[in-house]
Amino acid sequence: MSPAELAQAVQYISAGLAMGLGAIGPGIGEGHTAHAAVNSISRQPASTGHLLRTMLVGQAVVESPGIFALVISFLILFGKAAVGLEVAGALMGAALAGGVSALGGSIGGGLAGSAACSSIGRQPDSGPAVTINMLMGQALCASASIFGFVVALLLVVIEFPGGGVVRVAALLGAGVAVGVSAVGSGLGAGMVAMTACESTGRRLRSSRDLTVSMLLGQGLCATPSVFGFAVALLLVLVVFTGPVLVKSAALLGAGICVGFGGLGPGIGIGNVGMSACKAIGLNPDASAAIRRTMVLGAAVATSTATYALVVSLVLMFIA
Amino acid sequence: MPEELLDTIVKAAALLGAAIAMGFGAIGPAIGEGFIGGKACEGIARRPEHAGLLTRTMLIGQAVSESTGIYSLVVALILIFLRAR
Repeated sequence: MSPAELAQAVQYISAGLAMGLGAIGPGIGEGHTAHAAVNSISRQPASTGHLLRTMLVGQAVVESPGIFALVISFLILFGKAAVGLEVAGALMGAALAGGVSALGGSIGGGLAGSAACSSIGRQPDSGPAVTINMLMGQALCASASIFGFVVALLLVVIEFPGGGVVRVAALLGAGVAVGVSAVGSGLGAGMVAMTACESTGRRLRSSRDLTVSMLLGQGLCATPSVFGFAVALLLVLVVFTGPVLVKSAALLGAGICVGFGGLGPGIGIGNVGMSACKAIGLNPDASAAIRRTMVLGAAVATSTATYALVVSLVLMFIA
Repeated sequence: MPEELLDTIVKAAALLGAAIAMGFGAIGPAIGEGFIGGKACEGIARRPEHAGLLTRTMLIGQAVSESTGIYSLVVALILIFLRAR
């Protein structure tokens, strides 16, 4: 098989991988939202119109990471002609970046949407406040997927003149780094938005307070995906040289390290934020103390992501 | 196989091993510490007057959970600096 044919085979596999992985998240997230909407309508048929509107709006936001994956898939299929090893590696990296990152943002957004529909079903008066929190929460969940989309775009558009196996390893590593870390952050952000919407339904008076806490919690959740994004940018833009096998292993390893190292912390920080929003709903007067503890707990949960970032940087620049 | 190639494969394997050690090793402690932080927040909602005690207990629990994460970091650094240079 000539290198050109191999590169083209990789191109087609990448296009399929991008859309195949990218379709999973929105499907699960939108299904979860609809499940909650149908449940609520069965309990309160009078609110059908309101619930249906909220469900559709929530599902639309959750759909967007899937659309990003579709765009990347088309760009892979109809963009650069795959003529070399480096281009093939770039396209596979783009597929991983765009496809895997869609999982977190959409499943997380689905959690928020389903909580919003359940809340509105229980307390129809809380509709506007819950919808605002749902939309803001889902948008922040999608931000992790946007990091993946940006890296995938860079990989599809930039020309990579030469570099051999080392360059391929770097580009694959970039895809894994931004993709997998976005899953953790997206899921975590979704968990925070989920309880924020629930608590807004239970205690309408605290809706402003809950919005602030939700945004704070989701901001903390974004840290692992920012680490993944930074490492991915370095892997794509910096030219690495060195002995082929050793440097390739180091660069691919850097991507794996920060990518999977962002999975756990994203979920852990999300757990802290999720319980914090639930707690503020239960006892709004203690919200200052709860927020302080949330920030402290989230900071400690971020520590292993920081270790993973350090090991990634060492692998890239020192090993 | 020539000595040099074996040596290179071993070094590459050491680097990949370091990546897997820290990458997967970061998952567990973080999820555990997050769980602890979450329960601490809920506890403060129930008893705000005990906020200081709950926060201190949370930090102690999180420090213990961190231990395997530190082991992963140490193994990763050993693999990089003592086996692959």
